[in-house]
Amino acid sequence: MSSITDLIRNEIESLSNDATRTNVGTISTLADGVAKVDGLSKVMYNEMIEFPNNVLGIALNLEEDSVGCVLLGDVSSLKEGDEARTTGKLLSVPVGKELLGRVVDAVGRPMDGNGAINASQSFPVERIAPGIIPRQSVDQPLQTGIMAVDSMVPIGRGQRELIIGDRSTGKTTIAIDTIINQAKINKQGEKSGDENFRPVYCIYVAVGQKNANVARTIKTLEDSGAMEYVTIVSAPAADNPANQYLAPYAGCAMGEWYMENGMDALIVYDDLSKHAVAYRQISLILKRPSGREAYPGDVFYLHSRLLERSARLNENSGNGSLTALPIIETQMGDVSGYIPTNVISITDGQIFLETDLFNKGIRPAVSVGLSVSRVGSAAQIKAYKKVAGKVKLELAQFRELAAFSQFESDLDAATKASLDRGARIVELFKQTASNPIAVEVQTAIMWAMQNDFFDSIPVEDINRATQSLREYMETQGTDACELIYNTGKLEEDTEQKLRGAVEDWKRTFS
Amino acid sequence: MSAKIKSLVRVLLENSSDEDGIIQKGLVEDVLSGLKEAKPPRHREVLREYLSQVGKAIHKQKIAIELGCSTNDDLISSIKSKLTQFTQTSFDCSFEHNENLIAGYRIRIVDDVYEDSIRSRLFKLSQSFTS
Repeated sequence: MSSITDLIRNEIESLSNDATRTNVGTISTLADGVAKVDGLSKVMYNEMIEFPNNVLGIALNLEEDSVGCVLLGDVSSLKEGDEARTTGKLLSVPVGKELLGRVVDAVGRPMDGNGAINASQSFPVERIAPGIIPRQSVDQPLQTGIMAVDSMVPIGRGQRELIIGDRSTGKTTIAIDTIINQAKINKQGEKSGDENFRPVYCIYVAVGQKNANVARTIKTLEDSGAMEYVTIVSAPAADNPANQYLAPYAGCAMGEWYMENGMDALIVYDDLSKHAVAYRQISLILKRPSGREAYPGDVFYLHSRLLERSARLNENSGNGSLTALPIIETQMGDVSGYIPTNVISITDGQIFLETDLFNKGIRPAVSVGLSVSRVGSAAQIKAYKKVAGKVKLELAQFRELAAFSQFESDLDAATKASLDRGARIVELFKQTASNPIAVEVQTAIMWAMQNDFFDSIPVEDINRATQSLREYMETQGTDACELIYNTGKLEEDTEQKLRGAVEDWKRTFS
Repeated sequence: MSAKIKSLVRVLLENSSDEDGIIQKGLVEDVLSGLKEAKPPRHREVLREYLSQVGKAIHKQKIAIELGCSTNDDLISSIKSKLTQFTQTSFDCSFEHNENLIAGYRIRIVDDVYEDSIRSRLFKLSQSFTS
């Protein structure tokens, strides 16, 4: 018992008895989660401000004699004239592996009812992106498990690849499938006992979404066993705009921890259109001058400073990476909108999803013409590059010819062959949600396509054939798949094994 | 609020302060009568802004002292002399007995608050246990 009292006594003795000095101000106006505070003459930009009843705020507008603060938490208890005080701290969130499998809010507080998060470290939400020296070019693949993406718009670790499209075109599905595939690869890698295996940890940031959608996403991740590698940062539509504005930065800080500790992480921002809207709301209440579409002048910087924090670091800096998959929702397929063009110019490529393709049943509805990956092809494994190198061109030619062939009655043999091949590739790329395919199996399927094994199968049966070949390769064609997985190359002996396996499958397929 | 009104109010505020920068009632009365005669455009807005700025200036010249114990004249004069030494300027001091402090003091000078009280020490102690 005496040791307990000693503990408290020591704590009391260690306390400084000097007078504390704090800088205070008073709330002059309060509206929509934003407070204007008179005073606070010594406040820093982005400093946390303490309001009564444990409400926190962040100083965003430093004016001559007042400070504009965004409020985090329940603002209903605050009133005009209340005292606000500086804390001397920048807003920080907990980081580390303790956050895996957890759902947190924009300031890192648990929302899943699974108790406190015992993270030993915290990172400030706003940080300067890595400079030129610690970076290196993207050269390691990040497999999404989606054939249309991995073959035509490959993504590398440390890349920023935008997922863009109208509402209900499968943007979130691509991001979630990518997360599920990382978990699948992580489990496979951990099982193999390979010391050089580098797992990819995932962060999913939900901004301005319906709570039901977030709950559905969590369930999908749990059902697929991916949740143990994922942290979800949620700032739903019902949350105040300050939290929606902060959530992507908080998630990014959590991802940076992995990157700076020599690990790989993937972060999904779902979505940055709503993030920009939340920021516009805050800016208008703060009376910042508005520009195009009433967005403030620094809306480009809002996203550029966030996405620049994703990087691939070099050996000297720990060799970690943070890959970003921001999502943008377009209106009526218009990619020339203000926010879409901003984010397109910041990222290293985009996956554009078309409503028409989606409605035709071509899912994922990846538009070949408008999708591009500026750096990812350097990260594709050699075997896959060999079989998928021409597919984007073939599919683009098919789309072009298909449009013209509608007016032609007689087609020459070459055009017919191109159309035939294209129609088969379209069917081949159809893939259901939450069903990622391993890269070695994808290689085998693409190899079979390039070597005309699908040519004798009617177009309407291609999807069934792909499923059948996939099952065959996963169960009986494992020798060839293992060779591709281990070497990453498609050498002569591998091709021979692959040919044998595919021929065997072809004989059984009816 | 237009820039013209702001600059006019800035001049009015200067005219309302003495050499030490302290707002004086007599000077404010002079400014108000001058404004009544001149009748500047948007008179009401000018007066409102003037009121807001004078209020802030008065607030800046005030030192609010809260004590955990009851006050007496000796204590007040001793604190006042110490504060004058510390700030090197003349201030309007207000004294108040605040039971919540339990013992000690809380001094607010413009937007800086200096506090050494039992309440602040207990708060520090609770923070050290929870953080």
